[in-house]
Amino acid sequence: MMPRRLLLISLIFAGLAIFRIPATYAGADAKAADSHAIEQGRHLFNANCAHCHGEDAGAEDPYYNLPQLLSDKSDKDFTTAVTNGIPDKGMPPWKTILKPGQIGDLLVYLRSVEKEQGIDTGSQP
Amino acid sequence: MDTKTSKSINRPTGRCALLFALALAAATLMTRAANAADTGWTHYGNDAGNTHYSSLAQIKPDNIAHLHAAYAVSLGALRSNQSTPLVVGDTMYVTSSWGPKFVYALDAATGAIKWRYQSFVPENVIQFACCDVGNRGVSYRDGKVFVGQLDGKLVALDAKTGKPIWKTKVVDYKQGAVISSPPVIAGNKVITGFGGGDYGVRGYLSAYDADTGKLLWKTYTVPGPGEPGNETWKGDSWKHGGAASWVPGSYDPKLNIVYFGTSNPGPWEAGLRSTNTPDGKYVNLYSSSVVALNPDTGKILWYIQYTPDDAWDFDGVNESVLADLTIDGKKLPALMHADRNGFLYVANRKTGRLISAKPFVPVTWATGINLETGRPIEVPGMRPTLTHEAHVCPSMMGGKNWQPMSYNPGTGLVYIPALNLCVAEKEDKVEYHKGLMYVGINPFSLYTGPGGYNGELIAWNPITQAAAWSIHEPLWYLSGVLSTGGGLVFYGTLDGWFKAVDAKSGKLLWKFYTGSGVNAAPITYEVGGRQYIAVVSGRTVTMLSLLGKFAAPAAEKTAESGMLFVFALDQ
Ligand code: HEC
Repeated sequence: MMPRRLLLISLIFAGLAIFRIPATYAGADAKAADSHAIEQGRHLFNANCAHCHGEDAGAEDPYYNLPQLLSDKSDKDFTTAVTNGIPDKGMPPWKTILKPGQIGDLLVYLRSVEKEQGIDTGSQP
Repeated sequence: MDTKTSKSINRPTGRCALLFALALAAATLMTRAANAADTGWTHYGNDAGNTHYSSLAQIKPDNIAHLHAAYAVSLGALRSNQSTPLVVGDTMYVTSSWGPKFVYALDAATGAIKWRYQSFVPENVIQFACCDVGNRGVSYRDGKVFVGQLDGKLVALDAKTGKPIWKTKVVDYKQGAVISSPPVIAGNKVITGFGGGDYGVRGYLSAYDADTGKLLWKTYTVPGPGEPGNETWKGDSWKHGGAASWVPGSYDPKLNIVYFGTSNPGPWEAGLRSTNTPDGKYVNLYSSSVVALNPDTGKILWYIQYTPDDAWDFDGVNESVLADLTIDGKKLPALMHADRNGFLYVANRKTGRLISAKPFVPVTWATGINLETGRPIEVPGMRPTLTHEAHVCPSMMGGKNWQPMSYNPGTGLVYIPALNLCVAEKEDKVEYHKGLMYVGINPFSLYTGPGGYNGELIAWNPITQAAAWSIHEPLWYLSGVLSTGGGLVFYGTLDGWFKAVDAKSGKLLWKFYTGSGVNAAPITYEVGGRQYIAVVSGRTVTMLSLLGKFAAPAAEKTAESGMLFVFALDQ
């Protein structure tokens, strides 16, 4: 098991995934900004979300697998769920803890995992 | 991560017959009155000393081929079924996960349900239970069954009807404080801790009147200002200091002492509560320790801190096994403890004096334990910091986790469900928020320890502090262990197998496929002249999910479940 090498590989994959995004979105600056957001998002994710949603968003339980759950959800659905939480189900509210920019980084990261895993997204921006 | 980066200290091993003969000769009777009426399984560890041993001997190596399933019962809840059933008379009391969602009284010979208690613990407890929604079973005393719940309540049920007699709030679960283990019964006192070391709770133990549920005492395991030990915390870090007792305690009725292990200090990011250096002054009492208390007053009599200023989430929670050993011709009232930090400790359970401490798995963070001071001799560079990634064996999963070991007074060996995992980890800044994890280690990645296996059942001689034999298992997170007077050792694996091996040699004698990972500890009992073996199967989800890619091979083997299996010899 060589987790750090895997980590590197998954980052490279994430980078490739972005590369495939339509040209309007794939300017050099945007790309750099996105890979920075992905990196930040991944770090935030593994610090705050991983013990429920799995390391690198890889939860095996379908109720917790965010790349799958988000595939038919809008970015707004995501932001609402993360901001307010779903307290009855055990999803904490993050509005007093994470800044909007950080929630944005989490979204960019999770969308990149969705793409990396080839999940067919019907999501609307 | 390949293993060449980790300096491993060779633990004493050997299969030599001489050692084994020594072990046999040295083994003496344990504290409980063995044999006579050892037909039930009336405590979590069968006896209050947590030996997880039974003298029952009907099932033995030469007839185990005829051991078959007598019945199976669905527990009605998935994920992390960790229950150790109790058997009192002809009734079995067993819990499901999720609260527990259900407590059952079953006819121990047939599995027929006598009653079923529903806890109605809310679904959102999952937010506050770090490591899945497990429950480890109930305690019994004098017609009452006691159950600690994930919603922070302690409940007494009528053992005949399952009707609640009283219900007491022990702790506010919404701060991340959940009860997952059965309480200790000492006379008419019901004593419980709770989990929450990873949520920045301030741990305490509390005792309740068995008849009324009235609070009798409450003792914080993190001393407050003005109390001795408070000075071992930097600033006001004690407020979220953890040291929560989430694994069942032990009780010695003769000495009238209860023993509870305590969790890691909060947060894992040690820099917030200490200097995070070897031999620093902020040792964070009484975290990652065992505390010995007077059950009548709650007074702490003594403690052993296994990991001072714990920077690795080692916890000291693992059970204290109480048995009498003979060392150099002298009888020792022993406490045996296989710590997450990789050392097996033998101490005098009357005084807390350390007798010996040796690594039972590959250990890289310390070269030994100073028996006078109890302080580990730390290896420099093993503490993760905000800027330094440490590579450490064992990992935060420990050399052994909560799954109980078994001490067999016949062979004189403890049978340890050990883990051979290491970790690369770094600190990360963290703030306290009520109800959220308070950890501050990120990123971390687990890797297999030296030798290439992840789990190991070790038969360990606590007197010579050496292995008599061991079995390498490809997967980690082995189940709890049972050993019997019939010369058998039972344990389960994360890929669904439940196995019996010869207590003297470790030879595999029997196995049964349960269909899901086995985490719980097996038991044995006798009803109507027939010996039964029981085990709950149904693996964790959270622990696998949390460990991500490292755990994926285990997750792929089986799905979650919640089944009780009971076995007996063909008639
Ligand atoms: C304590 C456990 C826990 C933590 C920590 C947690 N979540 Fe959740 N999350 C849940 C639960 C439970 C649900 C609800 C699942 C369901 O609907 O059954 C959920 C749902 C969600 C959803 C809604 C998915 C959908 O179907 O629309 C999003 C988005 C989400 N979580 C994102 C996050 C992010 C991002 C983090 C970290 C900042 C996080 N969660 C941390 C437990 C958690």
